Amino acid sequence: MTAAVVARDLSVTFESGGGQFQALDAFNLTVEKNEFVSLIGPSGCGKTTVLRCIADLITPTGGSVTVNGIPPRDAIKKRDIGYVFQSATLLEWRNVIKNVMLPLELAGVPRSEATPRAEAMIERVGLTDFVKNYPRQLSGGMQQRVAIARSLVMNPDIILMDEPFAALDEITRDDMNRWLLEVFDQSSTTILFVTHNIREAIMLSDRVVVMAARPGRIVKEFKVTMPRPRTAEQTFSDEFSRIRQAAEEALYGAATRTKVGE
Amino acid sequence: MTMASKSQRSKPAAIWHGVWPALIVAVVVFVVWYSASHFWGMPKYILPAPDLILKEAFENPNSLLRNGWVTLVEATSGFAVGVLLAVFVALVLDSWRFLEKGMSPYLVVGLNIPIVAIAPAVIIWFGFGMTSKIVVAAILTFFPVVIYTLKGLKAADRREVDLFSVLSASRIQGLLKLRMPSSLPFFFAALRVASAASVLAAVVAEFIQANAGIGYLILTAAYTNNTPRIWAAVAVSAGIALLFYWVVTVAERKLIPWHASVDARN
Repeated sequence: MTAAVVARDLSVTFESGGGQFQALDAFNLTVEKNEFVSLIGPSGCGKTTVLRCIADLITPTGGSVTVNGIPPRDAIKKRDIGYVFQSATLLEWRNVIKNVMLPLELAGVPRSEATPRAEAMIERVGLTDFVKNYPRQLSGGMQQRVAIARSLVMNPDIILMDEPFAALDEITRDDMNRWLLEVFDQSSTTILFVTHNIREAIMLSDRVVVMAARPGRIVKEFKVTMPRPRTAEQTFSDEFSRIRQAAEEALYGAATRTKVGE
Repeated sequence: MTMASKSQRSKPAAIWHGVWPALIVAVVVFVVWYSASHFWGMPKYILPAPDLILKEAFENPNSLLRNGWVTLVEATSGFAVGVLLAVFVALVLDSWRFLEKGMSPYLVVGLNIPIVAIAPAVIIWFGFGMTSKIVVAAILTFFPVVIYTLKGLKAADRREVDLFSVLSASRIQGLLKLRMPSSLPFFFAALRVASAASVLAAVVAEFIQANAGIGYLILTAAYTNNTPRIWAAVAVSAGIALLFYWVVTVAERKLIPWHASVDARN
């Protein structure tokens, strides 16, 4: 069975103000099918760059990426990839259902089939009462749920999530985490999740990958074996606190080293 | 929630609430103006009394209506032609970067042509009739609309462009479902500018050479020192421009109710 994502010796260099910026250096990652993997690290460590390479929004300077064994561009064309951006990125002239229908519409799915599919997805994110609302009439958490419904509506094999809950308050974030766990447990998708919240990363993931900046690289990986479905009580378990401590060490150790190197 | 409770207030009361300051200003201006003419000795050739202007309008409504109609037709036709042409050109330039780069400095020049400068030439090309006025109005409409529409077509958020890329949208889908909707607020801003400009263009072109229209009426009234008629004609031309602006604004509210600029003005 081919892995969902394989990145080999991935490197990305940006030109910035005459100089060069090494966003990623020799990055290696394999995400198995139906695995939930979090990338965590300080700003500038290239987490988003990894997602953008996988989604064919950036062409890597070196190395290779495959999605389900094929190049990202082909995977995008086959609509195997869903992407949730840091901001909801809803089209302001479309109401909730029209926003969720957008991927179906672009894929040429007939309206008679697209409407019930979008409705079902909106129900799943708990926004049935808001189908006719416009984005500006929704709270930040609701907007992000619409964005997630939009990414799920095509049933992609793999969903890339770029700090989707970063702009939300702690309480809403916890809600969204619980909800995302449910969605993940009920589906057979693979999720690659970028965050800089350790607690969130451990709660959600099968594997937490800690990255460091300048150049962007992996410093450590942790397997999370806590059984699913996950519950809030598990945050008090030994495994949770052990991984949390180790991840913090890897993270802040990495961050300090970066600072010293400057 | 506050929005809901506000709209609970009865509609006529709400309208009255918005309108009465403007009414008070109108009454004050009318009283001062009336007193200046009738009691304080302001000469009629400077500004005739408001009742004289109204009297002129009601005694000779035919020439005002006939000439007003001519200007209205010239302005709206020119506006329509200018907008259609501008949208077409904007779409062509948008899909052809090289041509856009080559043309954009000249579009800016075109936007800044003083209309009085070009109107005589247009009248020589197209004659004294309505056609030349329509052309001048179309020119004045064309440049702002083409420039703003081009700008609007590039106004889509970078993240939205990424979204369309991830969703494997074709170029034409990107144009129809992302870039054209994003351009609408710019487009309507240009239409509001152009609606006033097209009336101005028609009237100014009529000053230069015409046999009908508000500009023609003002000019002939000026020859006979008929100041009440001049001011009645001015009022009609202002009414035409306002009507036009109002139509564009209503269309904007109906077509892009989602946009913040529309919401803020409600």
